[in-house]
Amino acid sequence: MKRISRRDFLKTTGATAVALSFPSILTGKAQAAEYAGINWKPSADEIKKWRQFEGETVYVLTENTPPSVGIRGAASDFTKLTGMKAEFTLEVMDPLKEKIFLDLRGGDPKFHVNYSQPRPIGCVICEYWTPINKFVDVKTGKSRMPDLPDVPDTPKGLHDAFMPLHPEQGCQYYDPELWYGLPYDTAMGMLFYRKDLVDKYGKKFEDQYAKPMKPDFNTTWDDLYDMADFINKNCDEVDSGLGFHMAQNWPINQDYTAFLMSWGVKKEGFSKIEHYEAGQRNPGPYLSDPQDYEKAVEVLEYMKKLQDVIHPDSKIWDWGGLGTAQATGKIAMQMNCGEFCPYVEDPNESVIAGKAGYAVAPKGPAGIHAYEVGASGLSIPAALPLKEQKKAWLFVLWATGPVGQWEAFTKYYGTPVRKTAYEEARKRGWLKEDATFRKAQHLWIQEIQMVDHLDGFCLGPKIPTYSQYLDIAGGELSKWIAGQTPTPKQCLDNMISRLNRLHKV
Amino acid sequence: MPNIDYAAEPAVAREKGTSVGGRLGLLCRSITERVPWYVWWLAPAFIILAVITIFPFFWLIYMSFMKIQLAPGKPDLFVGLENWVDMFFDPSIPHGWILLAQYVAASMVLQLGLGIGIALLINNMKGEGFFSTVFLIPMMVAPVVVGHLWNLLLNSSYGIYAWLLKTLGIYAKGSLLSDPQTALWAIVAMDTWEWTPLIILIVLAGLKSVPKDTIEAAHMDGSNRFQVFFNVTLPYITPAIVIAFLLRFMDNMRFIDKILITTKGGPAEATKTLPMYLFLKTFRQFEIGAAAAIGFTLLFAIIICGIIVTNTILKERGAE
Repeated sequence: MKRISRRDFLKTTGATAVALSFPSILTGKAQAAEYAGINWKPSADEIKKWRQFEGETVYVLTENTPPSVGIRGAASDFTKLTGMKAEFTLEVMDPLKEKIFLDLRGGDPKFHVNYSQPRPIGCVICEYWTPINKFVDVKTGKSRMPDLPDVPDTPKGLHDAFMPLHPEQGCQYYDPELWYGLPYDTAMGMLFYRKDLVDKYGKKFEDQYAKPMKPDFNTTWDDLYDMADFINKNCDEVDSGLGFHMAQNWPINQDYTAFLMSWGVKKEGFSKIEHYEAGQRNPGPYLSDPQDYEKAVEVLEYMKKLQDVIHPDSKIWDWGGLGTAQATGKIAMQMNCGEFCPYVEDPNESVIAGKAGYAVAPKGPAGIHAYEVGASGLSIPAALPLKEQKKAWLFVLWATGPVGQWEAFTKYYGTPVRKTAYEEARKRGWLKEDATFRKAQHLWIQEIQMVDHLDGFCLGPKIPTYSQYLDIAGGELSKWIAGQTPTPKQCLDNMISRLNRLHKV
Repeated sequence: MPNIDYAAEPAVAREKGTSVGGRLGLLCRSITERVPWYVWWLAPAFIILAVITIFPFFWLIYMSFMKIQLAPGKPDLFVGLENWVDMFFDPSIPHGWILLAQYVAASMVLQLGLGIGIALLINNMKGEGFFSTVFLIPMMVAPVVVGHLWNLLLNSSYGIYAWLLKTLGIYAKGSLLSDPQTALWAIVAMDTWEWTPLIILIVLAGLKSVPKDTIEAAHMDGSNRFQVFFNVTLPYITPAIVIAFLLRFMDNMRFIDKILITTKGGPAEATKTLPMYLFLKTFRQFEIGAAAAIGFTLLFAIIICGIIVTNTILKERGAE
């Protein structure tokens, strides 16, 4: 038998490796050359910039919610465009916050991309992320680095490519000139109700209350109370007419924030907030305006009154617990984020699939339809070497771009923030009541709220002490609705004294 | 001055201790001769222990006087007693202590009472091996899993316990965890379910050390079962109970796992015990300096309580 020398062996294996890799190189190039997504096809020059890190991996740390599940599902498109792989770590919000903080604080980040939920993550630790102004002209969307592509599909500038207020809410912190990422997803509050119950009991309700049972653009919070009360007294199909996410801290704060805005309290009750969307390092005294104070008293009274008609477990439900309660047929209506629509409409998961209707958030005495929004971005750690930041930037461009957003939405029910996704959905007839694409019903409401009711867009104060604010306000609110604080004024006074001490005012 | 050739006679020079090397050599020999061999063997473990416990302890005290800055590149600030003073103005602290006291008292009474009772019941009983194995199963489940499990069991949509309580007319207002009046007690029940077996295990081991002939002698002297238990059995098993008490006490004083899984301190602050608040301060609010001050007081309380309990019980035994 002929003995193969070491040199021959290396020559043979080298040639084999080249031969084997040749078709894949060709295929990769062919894939890139053919790459085109909805409303966007990169030029050959741009393709080279997108593929400069071919074969490498981007590590993404994000929240375990439908938008990120969607982006993870659609990530093969990212690989097709860039030749890079994306590895995802998905966590629920609290552990996610810890992981991001520890990864950044350690000084040697292991993740290229962080989910930058402005509250409670970004407003606390935004300085660990790099402003993207160095990569891109935030007015035009044109790249500032010759080796990086422009932000895709921004003919009217970068800001205009996204749904209103999302760049400010999801990407700016304390300085409106700096962007710490690009808008990525939107979790937007809306009213979910049971159409079948409205059909069955609507006449009786109308006879009794002299108003329609079906929620519409004129529905007020008092109307919602009446509906819930009526369902509790007349419908055996559900345990309770209405559910809220009133678990202590963040969930109950989101309700409170929306109520405050509905009642006409400006800037969450903090007098010194100059740039509401970008936030303020020290928000000043809390509820120092006597009119705001009185409105807040009314809000607390309404929240207490709601306890008579909402499901008692609302006090421990967060968004997920509330969504499950409706999908299991326990409650008739819920005020929850639109991203739960695909879950509620999934016949494999929900007993009310096809029976749910969607409406804009009810309006309060100030005539504002206030709705909570979790407008988040994707950000890049500043401590990463520039090359790694560039890789991360390519992922951010794709995930917030027209193709990534559309793929994640249509295939995995993400919540897009790109205007092109809404335009395309409208062209296809999905943005209307009872559209055939049931799992996109939330997009219909989201668009109405963002176009017609932008004054109701609220998230809670964007301040560095947001976590402490949540603990104080959430704890006091929780005690108030549980009947442990005797009067709404005492609840507010407790909040005021503790928040003012926190902010040293 | 004597004319000594150090190069030629190094041993002599060392013996006389007239050079630095010589003095060091003497010192080393002196130490090796005086320190017993087992100390050298234990030294690495002691050093590691010191690094992972004593250093963090002093670091904890240091941090309690600082404002730990989150922003990159900013140095931590010395704030003196601010973090300590803030504790007196924060209503969550006294509230947390009260809840912690309630939780620890209820858990200890239930776990010790049930644990000792069950151990006495199954000791020397037919099928003791089977029962002790069955009773140990909850302890084998991870605390976080126990939290999730009970969350499901108490869920008012599909939880069997919630259904049972509702059907029996005991509690029909949803989940026990959503009511500020019942949430803490529901968590006490979870922890009791999981950790009573540890008490059973330790007390059973203690019961095996009670001499049978002493018990027989007591019976022959006319003692009834209660007298035998209190005068013979209990003194024998007291050390085991003390160990069980201390283990569970220290564990309960820093307990957060099931609260974190089920209620996260709510509803209406009903389960925001001090350790839970400490967790929130550290990992949710990132107020590391303030959290260090709270953590130190909690640690101090655990140590003091542990010493008091141990001394009290052991003194009583000494008096006997």
